[in-house]
Amino acid sequence: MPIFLRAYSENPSAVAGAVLVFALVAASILAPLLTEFAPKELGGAPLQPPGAGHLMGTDDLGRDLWAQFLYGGRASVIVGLVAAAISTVIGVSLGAISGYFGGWVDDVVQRMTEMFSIVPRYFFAIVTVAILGASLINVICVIGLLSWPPMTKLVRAEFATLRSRSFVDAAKMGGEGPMFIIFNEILPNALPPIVVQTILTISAAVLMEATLSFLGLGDPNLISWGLMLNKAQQFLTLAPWMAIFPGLAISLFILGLNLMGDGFNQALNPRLRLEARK
Amino acid sequence: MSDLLRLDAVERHFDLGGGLAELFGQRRILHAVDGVSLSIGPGETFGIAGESGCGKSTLARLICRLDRPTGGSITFDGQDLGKLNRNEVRALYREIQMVFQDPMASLNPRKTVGRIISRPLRRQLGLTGTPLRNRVLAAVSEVDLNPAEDYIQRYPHELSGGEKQRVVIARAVALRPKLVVADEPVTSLDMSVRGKVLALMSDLQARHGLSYLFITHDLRVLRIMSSRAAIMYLGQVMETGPTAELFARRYHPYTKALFSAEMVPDPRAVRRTRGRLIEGEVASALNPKDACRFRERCPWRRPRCDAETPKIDAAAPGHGVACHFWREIAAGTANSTIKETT
Amino acid sequence: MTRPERLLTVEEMCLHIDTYRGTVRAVDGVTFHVDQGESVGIVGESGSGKSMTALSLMRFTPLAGRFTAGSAMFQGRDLLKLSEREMRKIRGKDISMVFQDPMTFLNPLIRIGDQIGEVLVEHEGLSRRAAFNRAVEVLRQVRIPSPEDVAAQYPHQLSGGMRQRALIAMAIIGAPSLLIADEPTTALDVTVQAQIIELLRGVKEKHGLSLLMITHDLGIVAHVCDRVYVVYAGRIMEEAGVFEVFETPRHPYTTALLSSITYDEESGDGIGYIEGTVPSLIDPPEGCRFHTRCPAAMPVCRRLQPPRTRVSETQSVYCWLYEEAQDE
Repeated sequence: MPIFLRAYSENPSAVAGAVLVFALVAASILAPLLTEFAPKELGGAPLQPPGAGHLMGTDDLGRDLWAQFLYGGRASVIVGLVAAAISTVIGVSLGAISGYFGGWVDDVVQRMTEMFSIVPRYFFAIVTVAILGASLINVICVIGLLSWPPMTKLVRAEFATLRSRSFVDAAKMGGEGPMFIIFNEILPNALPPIVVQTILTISAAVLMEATLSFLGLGDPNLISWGLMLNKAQQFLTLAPWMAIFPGLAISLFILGLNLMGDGFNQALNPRLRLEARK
Repeated sequence: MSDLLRLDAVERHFDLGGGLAELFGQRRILHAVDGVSLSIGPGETFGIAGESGCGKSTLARLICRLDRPTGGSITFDGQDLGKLNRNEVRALYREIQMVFQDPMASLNPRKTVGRIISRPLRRQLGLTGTPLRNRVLAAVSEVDLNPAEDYIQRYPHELSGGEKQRVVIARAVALRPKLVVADEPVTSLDMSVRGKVLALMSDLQARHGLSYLFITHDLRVLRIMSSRAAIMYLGQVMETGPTAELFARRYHPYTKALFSAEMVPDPRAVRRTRGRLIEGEVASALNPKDACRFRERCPWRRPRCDAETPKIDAAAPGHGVACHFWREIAAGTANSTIKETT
Repeated sequence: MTRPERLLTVEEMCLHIDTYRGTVRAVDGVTFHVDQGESVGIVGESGSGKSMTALSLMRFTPLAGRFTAGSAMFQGRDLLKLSEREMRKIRGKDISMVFQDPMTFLNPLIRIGDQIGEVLVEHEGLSRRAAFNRAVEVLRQVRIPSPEDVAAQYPHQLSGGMRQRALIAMAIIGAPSLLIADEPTTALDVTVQAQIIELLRGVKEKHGLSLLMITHDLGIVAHVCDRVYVVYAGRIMEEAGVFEVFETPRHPYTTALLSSITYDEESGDGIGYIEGTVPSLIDPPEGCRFHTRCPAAMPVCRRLQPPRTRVSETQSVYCWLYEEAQDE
């Protein structure tokens, strides 16, 4: 077994994080197998507490909350993954160019990064979605475009160290151009922290999507945990279970992702090769 | 004999900015290399020795055109390195290659030995398929990594330090360059494998007619590898000449100091010659004034040393000394603050 | 001739470290001793376990390190079995250590004088003021120019050689009886290395302490050591007086190591070397650790670990070539 997997599997909280994340992802993917209800299917009595017929009870329109819980995870997962992918691509490219070339290129990219980091993210997201309309694509793009600055800073720092290693000089003397050196020589060596940062970006994106939906700025046609929370507001005292379950889902998913990020961080630490296991 | 590589008054000054002093119009300029002239003939090994901060690594980067001089010129095989365009630089790297100090850092940890060696061959010589594979295998077995088929599949972390450095050498020599710049190639290796790497380098030189610019701080290595050498201190050449001559007669106070600081592995000799060391540490090359760079540690320091940078003076044909008073010191008529060093 | 007093006796010390790749047998049955006022070298290449041997004596071993066997008797106590609290009383006071990279040991935020004086504040209950003044004194002893100024500076303001001198000052201020130096000059320039080695020798003479020098450089051994242990892959190969090791080396490894640092000026041949590579300490070879690279290896070397064979008053060798000599 590779050392990474061994180190990861010996870290209980990292394993717990992975179990949480995979359980929630699997549940949302396998939703049709886990419930006979459709998420928007009307029919049951409204505001039923959790019980035998409806595992998590029903909402104000008598829809099954367990089904919403399962299908709602899909929105979170999709938004999290796609938005994180967008921000990773932007962040890695800008960070790599900035760190490798330095000089004025670095200055320009850094100023840009700073501009994006000082924008109040939620405010900007709310305004943009409000103007452009709350569709899934818009939400994903807004989150993706707002999440790349930390990745850029990280990748830039990695590149700034790695570019002074002599294998980069060796590649130059092998006749390689800057693009080959950036993507083929340096990037593979910068992957471990990028992977960790990507996991954390997913978690931030999930949280942001939930927040937007909670504020009523998510795609209103798409059931998501945030939207469920939004609906639950009016019935907090009457039907607390409407808020508890999606709230729990978001918390556990975020917790799981953060534990995974932490576990990856520890297990990918190159010092582990030599470092003792405790 | 025409020179393969020629350096004329090469300078590399780094502008470190001024910090607070800049307000008063003073910038901090690091004179990493300061007026170095030397030449290397085909098939020759030229050694450069000196301590940290003497500019030897900067010099290596300048020659490999990984950095550009701020003054003077470097001529390789008749072409001025300062005037090359991008394609010509790429072509230059078929002729000049480098062996780095730390083999761990100079091999990409994510690539196999096979990929590390084949990529420059493919890119620079356009080799592909079986000819490429054969050339890679030949390069690997030429540095005594056998069976080569086995080694080309390994990653750098699966090799010992000596093996890694042999891969670095194989990568450099595979292109059949004319000049290999070796920057402290055995310093990071264990004692017991240094000899192997050095023998291999000598072997490859004889086989392919390579020239070496061999940078080291180890005088034993300098003696074995180079036919001519320069001793550098704070960016300047202090003394230069045929290596055998430098080992027989050295005139510059710094050369004397460097040689006497060597940890000779001979307990009896050591106990006879204890306690003749120069004081102080290598100074800084920031904004040096027009004076001898070594003056602050020199036991023979005189007023003129503080006022004027010594020029290289020919002590014998091909043997130059950058010291105002080397004749007096050699004749024993100069007063020193310590006993005569040997 | 009166026999000098034994200061440290290490017997069959084993330090095993559990890692994700397996158990590293970093130190594997090492026996040596240091007498009062003696300067002893442990010389070996990377992966020989020499540094781990030194760190073991200070108990600066990795968390996952276990002493699976052996003892290290120092002033009647076994260093390997002391509690961390007892060890803290010994470090700096009875045994102190100088490292290769002073910056990892010096706190960048504390003035040099305060760091050096700390030992006295802790062990002797001196006031900070008094300890600082003593630190200035010791800085003068390690030949630091204008020690008052240096004591008031921070580590980053000093040059490499000065830092190493400060570290030596810190090591000797508690008047230890044993000073361990782990590659103290490897990071330094040649001319500065010579100064530091000379300083260590002088400090040892002047204070009458014992010096345990861990190094890969036989040149340094020749300069400072009275006796030498040659180590390879976690085990001792040979022990000898400093003249014996250079003039009558017995173990094939010692001979090979010597040939790798000398060359024949006349013949113009290169320096010698040993074929092959240092074995992994996770899965070390059976029998003699050196047999995989030894030019004189015999069948027995592959199977059995060679016993210690005395060849003279001060020289012993762990090699089957000399086994007969002991039988007589």
